[in-house]
Amino acid sequence: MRSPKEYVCLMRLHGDASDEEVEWALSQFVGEIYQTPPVRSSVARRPRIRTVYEIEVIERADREVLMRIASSGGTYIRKICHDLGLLLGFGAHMQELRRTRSGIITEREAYPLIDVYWSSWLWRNEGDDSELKRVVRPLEDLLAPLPRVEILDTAVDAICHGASLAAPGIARIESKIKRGDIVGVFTLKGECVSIGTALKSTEEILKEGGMAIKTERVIMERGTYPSVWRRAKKRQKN
Amino acid sequence: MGIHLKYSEPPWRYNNELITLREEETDPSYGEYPKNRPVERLLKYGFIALDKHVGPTSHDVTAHVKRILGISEVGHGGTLELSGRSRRVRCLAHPSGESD
Repeated sequence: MRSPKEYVCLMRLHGDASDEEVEWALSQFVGEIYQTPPVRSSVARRPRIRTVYEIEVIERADREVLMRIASSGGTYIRKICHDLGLLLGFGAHMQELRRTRSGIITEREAYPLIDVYWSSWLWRNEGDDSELKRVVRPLEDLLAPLPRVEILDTAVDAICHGASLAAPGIARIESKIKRGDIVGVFTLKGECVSIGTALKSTEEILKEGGMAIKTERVIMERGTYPSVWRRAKKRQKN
Repeated sequence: MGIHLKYSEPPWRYNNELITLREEETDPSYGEYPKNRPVERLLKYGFIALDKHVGPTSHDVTAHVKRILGISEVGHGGTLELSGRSRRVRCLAHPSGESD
């Protein structure tokens, strides 16, 4: 999922610049920017458009600039620092970087490894699962930012077997789904059933009915909900 | 020093607005509310937002989590500090490693 990210970044300039010059240079990297992925990267190295939503300088000490950056997924902060250095004429590099947010998940709700360790210990040895439940969260929390479709109990198991979602199985649907959008399919209890692609917009689904969401990835285990569709099939044969 | 440049509000989440087509109840004898999911099942259908410190790679940390929890299906999505859990989650949250 290409969720937006927020970082705190320490940049080191290779020459002296006034606050005004730094501000001007940074302003060149706010908004929609072209970016070529760095040499050491895991994607094809051709220029792409990325959005930098916000840059705020937290502190500055001579050539070191500490800043907060919010950008779209797939933006290289290292590259922004490097390019900013070129713009100022003397170069710059990224010294330290910490991601403070990814989509809806923020740094404040992230736990260090030691917490995984002791909460797991508490669960295994004392039978107390309260801490582990704080650290390990239901995956639905991660999928909350997706446009969602909630379906009837009777539609669940067919989807777990890979079927696409047809309009009659829908209980609630996001109002602004466009054709081709990635959507999350959930039960009325809020469990994730699958991730799929919208075959039609919400408007078209409401008007025409028919196949609505193509199942791309099944999350829920088969048999969690009763397989009404099987019984229906048998009845047809009889 | 007061430098704050803003282009737009980051789209942290989708602006949910649901239309109800059918008013139906869900049968409490099947499935579960994610909030009430027991730990055994959370380990399969869950994730950990992991605060990784500088040093070990995401791969190293994933191995530690596997060992600590005694389960084999652990993956990670996001190159820095967010570690997804369970085979299923990993693929969803995989940002092809480019989110530097």
